[in-house]
Order: sequence, then C-alpha cells, then structure tokens
Amino acid sequence: MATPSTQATVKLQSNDNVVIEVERAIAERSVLIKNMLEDCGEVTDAIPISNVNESILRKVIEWCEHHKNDPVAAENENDDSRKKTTDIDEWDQKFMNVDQEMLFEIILAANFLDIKPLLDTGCKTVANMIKGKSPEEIRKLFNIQNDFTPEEEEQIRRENEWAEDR
Amino acid sequence: MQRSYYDLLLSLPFELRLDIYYQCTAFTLLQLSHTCHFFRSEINSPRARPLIDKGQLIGGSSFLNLHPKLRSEPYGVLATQKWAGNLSIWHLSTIHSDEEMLLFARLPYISSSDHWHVPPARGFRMFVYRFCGRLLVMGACDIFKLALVCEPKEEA
Repeated sequence: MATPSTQATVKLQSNDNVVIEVERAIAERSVLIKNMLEDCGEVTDAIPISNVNESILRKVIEWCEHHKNDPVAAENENDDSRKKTTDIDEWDQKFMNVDQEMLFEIILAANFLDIKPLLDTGCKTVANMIKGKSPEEIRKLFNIQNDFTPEEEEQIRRENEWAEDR
Repeated sequence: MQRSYYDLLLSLPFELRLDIYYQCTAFTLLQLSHTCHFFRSEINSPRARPLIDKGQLIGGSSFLNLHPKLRSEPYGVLATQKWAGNLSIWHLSTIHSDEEMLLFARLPYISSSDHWHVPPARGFRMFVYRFCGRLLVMGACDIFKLALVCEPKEEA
C-alpha cells in the first residue's frame, strides 16, 4: 500500500470531461475513491469517473459535502444492519426532489461510487413514491401496462383473500 | 424524449431494483407485485424471495415468527399453503403508515362491511393496523377486521 497522503483536495473528472476539484474528505465519502486514494497515495491527475456526467457528479458532491461529518458505516457492515426505515431526513428529501431521470442517475452514480447512504436515500425515495398507492395508481405513476389476464387477476384476488371467519 | 419511470426502473440492474424492494414496506411491495407480470415474477423470483421469507421487509413477517397457535390447525395448514406461494397479504405483519392504512381499507379484495354503523375511533384503528395485522389477516378477530374495512372518510 502507498504511504498515506496529506493532500487536501482531489480532482474528479466526469465522463463529459469536466474536472471538479473537491476536498479529499468529501470525495472519500465514496468508498471507490477512498480505496483508490489509499492504494495510490498522492494523486495529482484528475480521477476519471467514467459512468457519471458533470451534472450528476456535482449533485453527488453536493450530497457528500452536506454529509461529510456523518459517521461512516463499518466496512463489514452487512445488509441486515443497514438502517431500515422509510423515513428520509428533510434535507435529503429536498435534495432528491429532482426529475425522474436525475433521480435514477443519482442512484446509479451512488452505486458506481459505492456511497451506500446515498444509494439508500435514492431507493427510499422511489419506495416512498410507491407507498400508499394501489396497483392501478402505481401503473399510472410508472406508465405500466396491466398485462394480467382476467384469470390471473382472479388468482391474485384468491391469493389475498382473507381466511374465512370461524 | 423523457423516459418513463417504468423504463428507468427496468434499465436499472437487478441488484439496484432489489435495493429499492428492500426499502419498500411489505405492503408497498405487495401492491407493486400486483401491477404487471414483470414485477410479479421478479418480486417472487428466487433471487428476491429471501427478502420476503426472512421477514426482512418493514411490516413483513417471517412465518416462523408467527404465534405457535396460528401455525397450528386449521390456520397453520392454510398459512403454510399461502406462505409457500407468491407474496400475498398473508406475509404482512403490520400496516406501517397512515397512507397504507387508507389504502388497505379501499383494496378491492377487502370487502367493506355494512354491519358497522359507528366507525371506530382513529386511534383504535391505528392500533389494529400496527399491532394486530397478523390476527386480522388470519381473519381471527371479527371486530378488528371490521375496524379495518370501515371507510376512513366516514370518520370526518
């Protein structure tokens, strides 16, 4: 492993070739970048973030800046111990109040950059959009075609009917 | 042209949709599984099914966590059959929020009852939804069941 670096900032390059300089501590919210910096030591060139364009990268950096002092999850933390709640804090709700395309791009970027809390927030946002909606309302929201036959609809009804009262 | 949510959701890798399923309550996931073939088969696929079977969803229940009495005859037999099938209302342990409570009351397979002339107080209904979900799903308690199928609008 390389000697630990003391550099204060790092440069990130989006896939549309825009270079953004950011505090190292903020960039290290991304486990991918953190591991890369630990392995390489001092990095003077811009780190290419090949799957993320400028607008999404700036958005992700904005999230990392706001959450830079949050405790970092332990490396061996497994899925079962991840926070399971549909609650999203107020700042994150506003942050996620973006158009649908951007929301999914943020989820993809969080996954690529390995920022689990941001990924969870994105997924919770989608989950909360579905919450409290009937199948018909979800179809309208997502533009889903109902492709069930009447027999399948009946099967679903049977699967969900209540037990006979005794 | 802007892509629809459906296209965007389908464009995600399966693992990311699984992350979204993981953040849904059991009741929300149930509704999503009733929208189309794609979600019904994916949510009930062997890869997603552990979420349900291990009771990992919010408001979901593991069959083994059922009260022993409910695992015995005759509910046990029925519950075992239901449990082995697709995600259904039988996998719910609680209704998680007000929004879901309102939805529950208007689902087509939950028939409303005209036997209940005075709607029960909201607090009582919330208690039933949050803590007695399993009993009501089993149809084990008529009063709780009636409390749930009362139309919320009558309360105002």
